[in-house]
Amino acid sequence: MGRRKLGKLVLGFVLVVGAVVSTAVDWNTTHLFNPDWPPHARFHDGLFLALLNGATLIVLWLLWRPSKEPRVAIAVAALFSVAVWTPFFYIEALIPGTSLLAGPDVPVLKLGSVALPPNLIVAAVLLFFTAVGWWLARDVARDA
Amino acid sequence: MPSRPSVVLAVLLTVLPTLLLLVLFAPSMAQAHPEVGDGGLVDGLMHPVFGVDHLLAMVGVGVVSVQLGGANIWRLPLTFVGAMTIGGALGLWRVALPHTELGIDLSVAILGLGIFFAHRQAHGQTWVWPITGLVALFGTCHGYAHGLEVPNSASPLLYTLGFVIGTAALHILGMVLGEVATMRTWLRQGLRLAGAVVAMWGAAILVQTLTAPA
Repeated sequence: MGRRKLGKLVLGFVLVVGAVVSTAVDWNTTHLFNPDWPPHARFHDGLFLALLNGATLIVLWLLWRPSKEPRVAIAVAALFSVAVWTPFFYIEALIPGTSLLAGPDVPVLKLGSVALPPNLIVAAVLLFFTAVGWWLARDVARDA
Repeated sequence: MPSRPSVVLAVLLTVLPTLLLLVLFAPSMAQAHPEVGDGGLVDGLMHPVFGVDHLLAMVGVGVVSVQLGGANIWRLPLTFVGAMTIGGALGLWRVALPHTELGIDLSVAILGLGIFFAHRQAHGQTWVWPITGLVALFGTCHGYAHGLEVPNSASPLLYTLGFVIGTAALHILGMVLGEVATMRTWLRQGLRLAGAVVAMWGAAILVQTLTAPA
């Protein structure tokens, strides 16, 4: 396996894990089936999951199909991942009344005085792997 | 050979965050498995990361798979994850499996030695199946420990999904570290040194387990 293929594997891993984890975490009574949520909020969560899973499949196809411009697919895969996971770091500050945590019972990892919600950790880890995957995969000339 | 900026970027992207992760989480790791989870997916995701023995072995599988090269790159991680899932099911069902703790300790020591000694084989893959068998055995032991430690309130399916994803992420981290180490001789030597340290750590916890009062 060449360096580019390993990079594509890492990017593919990020895309699949992002879609699977998001669906698994939201498909329960804390999110999608939360009786306290207004029906339209639940509709939007369903919409988000459908969009995420659909777009993930399209980007995976783009990433692995034979192409004369593999760099484009690699950039799209990395940018798509960045677009999905960076909002975790600013939505709360950007839109008043929103919260990273689904409820008061969500476990939060504490490192000294710093609280790290699990979704923020997952977002940071996936962004780290996105950067690594993009860096490995962009070296197209090496394997071409 | 990759250019100097490329190597610097590689180190910045992989080695430094890994060290940062170790420094940041070191206090939590000392606790073995702190209570950070939800009894489901989050617990499963965190379990491989917060046990030093699990973390070292899983990153080790990724590194060794890249060092050996060829089909080992996908064969060893998939074998480990597959065997771990089976081991996890055995643990969940409380099937008696003796000496799994020894197997975990041994996995850290052997994989550390693997990182120290492994290299891409130009001719043939003589040791492929014994190595794969050993990785399967180690995966079963780690999975069994995960399965035994499923919290009572957990959703076993989500917990299993969590630790499979967590393990795969650590394998991929190891694969990337192994790949980055091929860029420069000093990086390769650094990785071998790290392998030796991991092997010594494994030997130390193995002795600790063997000498611990029953």
